[in-house]
Amino acid sequence: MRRLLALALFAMANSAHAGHILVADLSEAYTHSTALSGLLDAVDAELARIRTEYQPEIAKLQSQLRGLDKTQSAERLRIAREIHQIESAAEAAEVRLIEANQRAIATVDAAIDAAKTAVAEAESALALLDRNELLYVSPDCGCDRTAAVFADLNRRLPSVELQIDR
Amino acid sequence: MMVYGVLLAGALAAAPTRVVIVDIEAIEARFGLSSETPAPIAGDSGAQAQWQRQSDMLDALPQLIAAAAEKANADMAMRPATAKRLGIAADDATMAVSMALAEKFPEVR
Repeated sequence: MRRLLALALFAMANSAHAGHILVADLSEAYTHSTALSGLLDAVDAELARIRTEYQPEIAKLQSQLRGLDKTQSAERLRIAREIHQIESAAEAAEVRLIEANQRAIATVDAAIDAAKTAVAEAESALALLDRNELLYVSPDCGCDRTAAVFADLNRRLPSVELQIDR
Repeated sequence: MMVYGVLLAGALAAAPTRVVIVDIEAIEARFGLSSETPAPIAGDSGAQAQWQRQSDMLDALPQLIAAAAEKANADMAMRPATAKRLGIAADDATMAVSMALAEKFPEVR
């Protein structure tokens, strides 16, 4: 009898572990991840810096261009070329920013994966899925580990650097 | 006795997740649904009504999936591909969802 009871409980314990699935809603990562919210601020600041660096000069040249009459075609062409060069430089700066942002996001994505794995392993769960992967999750399943994943993520990666190639 | 207690605690602490699979792509194909269908040009009332019905059916799907999962006493519903990736054998609620959708929108049956 004891053996049977032990066997049944052992089977229950094992089957439970084999099919235990956790969920985390990562859709608001930009709010809950300190690294991502910091990255957003850094990107905004860099965009503002690019605007400040290039826009006044472009505006000044555009004003000069408007002041020229049609007979001053050589001067008009020179200014137009200069505007184009500055706009190209601003676009190149934005491309470098986008690339730096993508690298930073890849770093955060890797940390999110590590956090998900750590939370799942801590509970011997089969998997920890992103809520977006699922069609339905019962509110009573007791499987939501969103807070635990973000807590782990913020410990693991409190911030991420926006490394822009200059 | 303590061993039984530990085993019981383990069994109860991590209750197995009850999963159903729903082949959402098959349902969309059966009913000709696509979330990427552009809204028809204004003036074509027939096309407008059809587009609106498609939109209503797509909107109804999450609720119908939830109802089918709850009826099956499931904690989660997922696509067959997700279940396959996890190596889970789960009951298939595709037919239940499909029938519920046909019942809710009898004109497209």
